[in-house]
Amino acid sequence: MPIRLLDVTAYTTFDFVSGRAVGPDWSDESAAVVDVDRADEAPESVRLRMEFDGSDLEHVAPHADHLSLSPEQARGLAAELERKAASAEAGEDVPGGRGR
Amino acid sequence: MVLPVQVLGPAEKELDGEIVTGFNVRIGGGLGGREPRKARDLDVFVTRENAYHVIRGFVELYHDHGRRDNRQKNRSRFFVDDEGTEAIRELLQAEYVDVVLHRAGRSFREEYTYNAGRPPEEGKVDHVGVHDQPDGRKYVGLNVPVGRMTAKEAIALADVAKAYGSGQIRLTRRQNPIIMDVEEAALDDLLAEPLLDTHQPNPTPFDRGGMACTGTEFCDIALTETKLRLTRMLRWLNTNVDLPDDVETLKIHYSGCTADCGHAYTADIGLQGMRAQKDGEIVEALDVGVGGGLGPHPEFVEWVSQRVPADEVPGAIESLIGAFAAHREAGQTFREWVASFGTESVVDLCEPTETTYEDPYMHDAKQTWYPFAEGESPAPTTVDDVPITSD
Repeated sequence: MPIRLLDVTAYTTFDFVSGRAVGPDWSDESAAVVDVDRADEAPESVRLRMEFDGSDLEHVAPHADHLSLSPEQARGLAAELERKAASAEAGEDVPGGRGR
Repeated sequence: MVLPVQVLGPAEKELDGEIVTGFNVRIGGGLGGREPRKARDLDVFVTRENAYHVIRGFVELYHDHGRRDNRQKNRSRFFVDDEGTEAIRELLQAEYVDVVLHRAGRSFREEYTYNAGRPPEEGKVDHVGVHDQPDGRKYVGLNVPVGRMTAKEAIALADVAKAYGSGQIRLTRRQNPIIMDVEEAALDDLLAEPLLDTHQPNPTPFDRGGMACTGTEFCDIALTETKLRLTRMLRWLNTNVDLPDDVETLKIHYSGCTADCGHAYTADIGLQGMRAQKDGEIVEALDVGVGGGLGPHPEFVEWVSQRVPADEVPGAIESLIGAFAAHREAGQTFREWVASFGTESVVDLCEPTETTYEDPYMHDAKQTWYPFAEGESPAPTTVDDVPITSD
């Protein structure tokens, strides 16, 4: 069973998030670690990292995904998350179609 | 310095026609951040007198040349990855030490016994118990369960050492105290001291091998409770799980997060704090690894189960020990068995399950307590220094 790639401490943003790794004809349900920080090598950006548990993955090799967000992108993501969180809490209908 | 990072390993070398004892220098080991490294040989022999100067030189060299600007890279193990030991050795000699760096001497690594995963008939592996001193007197090593001794017990230890020995106390590399210079005639009275009911010279194999970092109780980066939980787990294992008769110690090391201050990486069974979902709730959980250890050939654990809810960990350990007992060849230690049986096979036999063990810390998550906060302290003693039972 592979080693975890992300450090997991009390400072990690989320030590447990449910998720799925999805391919064209497969899907692995897994717990995941999600962390937001700033990388020393790119201090002008925000880093979003995610790693599924290696023990849950059948169809994909264990790995971590790193996204490098500009401050503007990070704020955009945060705003979008806030907006969706509010509508989820309000029990609003999930809009259909692509134009949502 | 933690053990696999060992900086100075006992060695001897012929210098100017004379055999001199000293140390071989190794650098760049470490366990944390999910990037463990064994220390690497710098190919340098130092005498006892020069050891300080050489280590100081390396620290200064690292201060000047290490990645101190980058918090994630600021570890000597990554520096050694990048630079290599030969270049570091040359720079050390050229600019940081006045003494001549001798090439490595004859190492005694093959004789290392501590946590080497060897069977008891190959000799003692720690200093716990009653042992002979070269001068004919005895020394008595006490096992401090999960490394916690109260202030009152520490005072009692000093009194006992004075009453039955010379008053000298030494510490083992596991921080267990050794009472020195005990005359044989005083031994029975010493062994009858109440202090030795808690800090035993003859602990169970589980108590002897249990070790835990501080955990959430006092550490702000830990994810889980550690010492009190491990205490309860060890009690449960003592009562409910039988090891083969010839197994005298089983090292279960528990760290509250991936920083691994509890040395889970170098245990027979290593535990690291995580979080899991159980019955719809987020609970404290542990990653479980097997097969680590030190000795001449250090090995890190390989992980066999992730996010085991804490209340199912004793069941998982029971299944691992059951598999060990059933499949080991005669005389094999746990680490030897994992090496020969194969970790992938162990994965299939590790079965986390609820047992009669009860875990009161499942939802303890980060009950960090500020010393000046109003309200009750979660510390495990009352204001009178009376330990609060973990039961």
